[in-house]
Amino acid sequence: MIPRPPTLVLPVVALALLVAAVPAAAQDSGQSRVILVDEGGSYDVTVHPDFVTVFYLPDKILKALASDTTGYEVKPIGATSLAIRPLKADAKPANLALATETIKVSVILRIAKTRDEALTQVTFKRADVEAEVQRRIEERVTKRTAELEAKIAEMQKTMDAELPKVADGLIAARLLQRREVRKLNAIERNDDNVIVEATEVFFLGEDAYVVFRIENRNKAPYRLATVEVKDGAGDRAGVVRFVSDAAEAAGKGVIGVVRPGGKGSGVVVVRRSGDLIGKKLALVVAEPGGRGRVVVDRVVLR
Amino acid sequence: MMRRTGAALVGGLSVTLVAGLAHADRREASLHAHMVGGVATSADEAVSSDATAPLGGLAVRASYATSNLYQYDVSLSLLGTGGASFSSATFMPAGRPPVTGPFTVGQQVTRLDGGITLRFGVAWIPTVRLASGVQGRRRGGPIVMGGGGEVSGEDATGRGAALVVDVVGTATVGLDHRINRRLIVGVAIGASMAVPLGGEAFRTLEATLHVSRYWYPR
Repeated sequence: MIPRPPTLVLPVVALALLVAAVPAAAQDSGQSRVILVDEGGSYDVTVHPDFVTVFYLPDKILKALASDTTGYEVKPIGATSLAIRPLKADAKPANLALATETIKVSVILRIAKTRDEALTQVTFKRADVEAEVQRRIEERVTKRTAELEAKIAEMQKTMDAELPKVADGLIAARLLQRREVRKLNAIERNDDNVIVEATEVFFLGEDAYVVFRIENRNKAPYRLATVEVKDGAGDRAGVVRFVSDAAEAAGKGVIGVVRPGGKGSGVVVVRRSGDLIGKKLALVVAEPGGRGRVVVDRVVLR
Repeated sequence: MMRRTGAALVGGLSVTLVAGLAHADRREASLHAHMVGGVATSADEAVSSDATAPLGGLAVRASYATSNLYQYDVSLSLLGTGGASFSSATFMPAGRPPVTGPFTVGQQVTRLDGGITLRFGVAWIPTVRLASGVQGRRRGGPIVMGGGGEVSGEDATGRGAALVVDVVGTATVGLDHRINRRLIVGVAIGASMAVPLGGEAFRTLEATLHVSRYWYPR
């Protein structure tokens, strides 16, 4: 199965984030608070003389009565907002009765002990309206997600069908360009009796597929982690594949395992090998951490 | 996409190649330097019994392996014996009175043999070597213990040094230890038996201590 392209996953992720973000709007943050109101209710709001606290209501305010007009100043801001400011730092708790066309609430105003505890913005929303908005958003997100998933599945299907054709085409083109197998004559071992031999190179177009073999005559498994093809300036190794008769599966960071006394065979791709023809290369294999390094030098592609 | 294609190709190639696999010591070559000690037993035309003398020398050996199990090798040995003590014999020099008494004979041997060394290990390597070849043996003139002391020389004994060529076979068992990818040290004991081409019988028992350098020639 071919992994899904990230470009198609992104919209889905974005939608998911949107879904996650919507409920957050109805939550409190910092010095603001959102209050969902069914029809009515009583709510505590902390205020501070240093701040003006603004109440936002869902529709036109019909009534706003404060129990202590000497302690708290209440001013309308337009038809649906009120500004509250304590007039005295030691004002006692008071209530503010608010009525709009759709809700009736009683707000208990209290002086906050510190500035940080005071609210500067309180938004009253109708719970049923909010729920409806939420439902519609979720419905649209679900619908959109399903559409995108269907689109991804379709693209996946198309890619699964097309990729082999593309691969076949590339192979055919390269075969026409160059197809040749050359023997290599390079072998080396390390101090732990692990022997690596570069045996052949398959030229397919400009790319060279270097075949190497590992025989592990050590008593410990040889866990192949890196394969490099060095040309003096850098590593030219591309894709590496390795198979062996080991029962142990290759773990994280390991390409393959050669059991004690066992053997394995691998291929390393050298892309655009044209500039390496005739040069002395070094095939370097190693275990994790560079242990068990074997340097097969004088590997010459011709 | 190109990378996927390459990966697919490589995967396929790997699977097809897993059957034919490398050998370890195959293609390894080596050069060995030996110190040789032991004893040599030889016969002499003047007496019917054999005599034994200490043996010492140096040898060099070169090998090339075509398998993990064995390597082909060729060895050149330069050996010398002390004087082998024979029982009493009478030597009749021309124009002189006979000389009678026990005598000693020393020999120098140059041996060139080739054979096969079986190797049964990786780090610790028990070995068995079988070889055959030729050796040139310079048999010294006898030193006769006469009544008045040692008598030697062709004029005095009627017999001088002689060069003998033998066909020789050797068998050796030993134990090598690989110190690292390049260096191996080892010990061995062995025996050789000469089939003389006109000379006398010559056999050796040898112990060797050797150090070897291994590498992959290309």
